[in-house]
Amino acid sequence: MEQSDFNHPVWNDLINGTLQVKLNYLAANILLSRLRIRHKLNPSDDEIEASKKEIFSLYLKSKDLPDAKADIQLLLNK
Amino acid sequence: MKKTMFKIEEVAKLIEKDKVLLLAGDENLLKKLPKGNWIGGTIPYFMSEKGGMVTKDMILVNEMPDFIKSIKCQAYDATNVHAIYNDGFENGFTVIIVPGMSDLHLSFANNATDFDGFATKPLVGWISGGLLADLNQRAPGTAFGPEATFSNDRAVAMHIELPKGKYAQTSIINIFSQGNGDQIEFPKSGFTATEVLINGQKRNFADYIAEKKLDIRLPLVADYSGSMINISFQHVDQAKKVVSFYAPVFEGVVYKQAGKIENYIHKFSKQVPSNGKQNLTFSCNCILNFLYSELEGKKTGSITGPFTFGEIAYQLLNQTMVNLEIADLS
Repeated sequence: MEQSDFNHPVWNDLINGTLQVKLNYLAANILLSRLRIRHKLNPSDDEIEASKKEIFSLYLKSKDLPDAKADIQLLLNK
Repeated sequence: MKKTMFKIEEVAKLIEKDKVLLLAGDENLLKKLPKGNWIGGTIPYFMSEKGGMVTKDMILVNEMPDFIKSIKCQAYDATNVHAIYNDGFENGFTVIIVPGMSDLHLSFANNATDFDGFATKPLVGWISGGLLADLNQRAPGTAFGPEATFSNDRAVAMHIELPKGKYAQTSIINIFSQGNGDQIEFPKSGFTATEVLINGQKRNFADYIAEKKLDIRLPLVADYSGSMINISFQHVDQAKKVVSFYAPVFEGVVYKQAGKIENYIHKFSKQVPSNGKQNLTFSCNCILNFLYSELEGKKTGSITGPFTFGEIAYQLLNQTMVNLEIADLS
């Protein structure tokens, strides 16, 4: 996983809920739920961009942890 | 199996040997301990090596492994608890103990998800408590080892740094899952609710609970992308038509009441990881699991720790076991 993966549409789909997947990484489960609530209450472009950055950054910094790795494989197929 | 329950004299000796300790026990014992590298919280209910136990005469000791790189103990109140995530080490984890029934307990529960850096570093911990029969006389508290002080309104935390090549991973064991009942949504976040949306229809929640004869020992469960997160019922006030909870419900989350559990120990045992993950650095379990599932004298696998008034894995949870494991990066 690299910085350029931020441009992948999967992050947008995760935040707005069009992508419903079972994630392994507990930190991401909990953070994503929070971000989806925030999106529901304020679906502005700025808000979704900020939320995408949060979930992406969590995965980027955790990319070597087994549960995060499994999610990255699932989400980005890499 | 490793010994976890110690007499106060034994704990004092460990502290004098500069051991890094997470402690759980009675206020009278915690107040007598010398200064050192430890934090503690009040509770008399334990998952001990001998099974579920209630005692005010012993302290549950969780000694951190020798390989940890460094620690930073810190006390938190309403003015600085928002920094709990950012204060943690880049590679490590944080254990926090929050005094039960304090303003900080409510504040942490309601606001942790909005703290800067939320969920970006592993945070586990628990809400301190006391013997249920004593709660009107004695407030739950926390003890801060570096100063050997005790407080009823201050949280204590230990930030632990891990060496390169090791990582901390948080997990939960929740035997509950969403049942087949109605979808429940709350128009406002908080520890209490009056009006709710049942399958989209506005209802008084207390009336709904009475009409459906819901067993309020079963929590509300939300599906967080595959992780089941519980909210436990505290009380239904039929006169005031108010329902209270042990953790806040959140606006925007869809809840369902949990399905019935026939045998806690059986279901729990099936969920305890069997792939070597039983060597856990930290665990805690909910007092409601202890009470409702009658766990006194019963073993929860090889897992030990306090039964608590709330469990923390990034945010406040209910009726859940929280675990933290330190593993090697492959």
